[in-house]
Amino acid sequence: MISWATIQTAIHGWAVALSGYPASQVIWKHQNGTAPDGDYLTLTLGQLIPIGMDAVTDETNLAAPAGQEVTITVSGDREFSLTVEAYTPSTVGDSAARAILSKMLTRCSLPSMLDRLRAVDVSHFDRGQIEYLPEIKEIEFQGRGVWENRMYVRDSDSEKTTYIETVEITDTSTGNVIIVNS
Amino acid sequence: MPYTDSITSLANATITVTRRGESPRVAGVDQAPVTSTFSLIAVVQPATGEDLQRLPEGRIESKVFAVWVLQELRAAGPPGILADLITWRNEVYEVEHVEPFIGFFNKDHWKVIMRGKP
Repeated sequence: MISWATIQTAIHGWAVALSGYPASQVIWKHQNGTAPDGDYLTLTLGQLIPIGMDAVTDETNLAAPAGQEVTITVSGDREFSLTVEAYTPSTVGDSAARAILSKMLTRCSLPSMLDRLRAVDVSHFDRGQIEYLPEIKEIEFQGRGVWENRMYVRDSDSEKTTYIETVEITDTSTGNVIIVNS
Repeated sequence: MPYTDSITSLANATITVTRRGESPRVAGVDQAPVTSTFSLIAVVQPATGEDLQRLPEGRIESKVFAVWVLQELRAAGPPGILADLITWRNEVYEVEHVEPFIGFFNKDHWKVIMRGKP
């Protein structure tokens, strides 16, 4: 089964490497703590879409403990969105949210960056686009940018079951016992 | 009754304050805060309409009380500062707003607006 905690940790490391920010300046959104000071990024995992039909496969291992010889697995691809938001005191220049996200968008195709996601079987197939939406925070402008991404990951789950080894058919009319496939 | 003793003399409650220190995040995920607790005597009264207006939109509800204490409490503030939690009559409230009265009548005191924590 997929571990979103593992994927989130990998995505966090990926975002830190892309942006060059310290790890403490990249946080997952919608938590109750206080926002970091200065430049920071928030990450949000959003929409999850199953792609096509999930496949159901089974595998038999007669050496497994009794009752657990057959493993039935369901697996399928999932598309999910990742929203990266940048918040910067600066609204122009290379430190502004737009410039930081622009750098991240370009750097994300570097092999070392792709490897960070491949390590957890995540495929970054859509780099999306960047919106730049500076807003007034309290008494001054704050640089704000949003970068939408889409990714693929495969999810699966399985359960153990057993198989029918023997079938007995009883002929009630005669009382004879017929054993099939014994 | 001298004014300096008014909170002590009129206290109608002993509240328990839980102070929370934000722990460093791990991979961008909040960690459980480090907490410490202490007790205070306090005057707890229903919040007035004026008190309610001090709360941000969306955080106004009926379970709001005004509390007077002789020690500073903390509302959520800069990074790393989480609001104090107040336990009163077996219910937990969060400090939403603090008004310091420093040096008033030679007795520092604080008026705190606390809101029921969901």
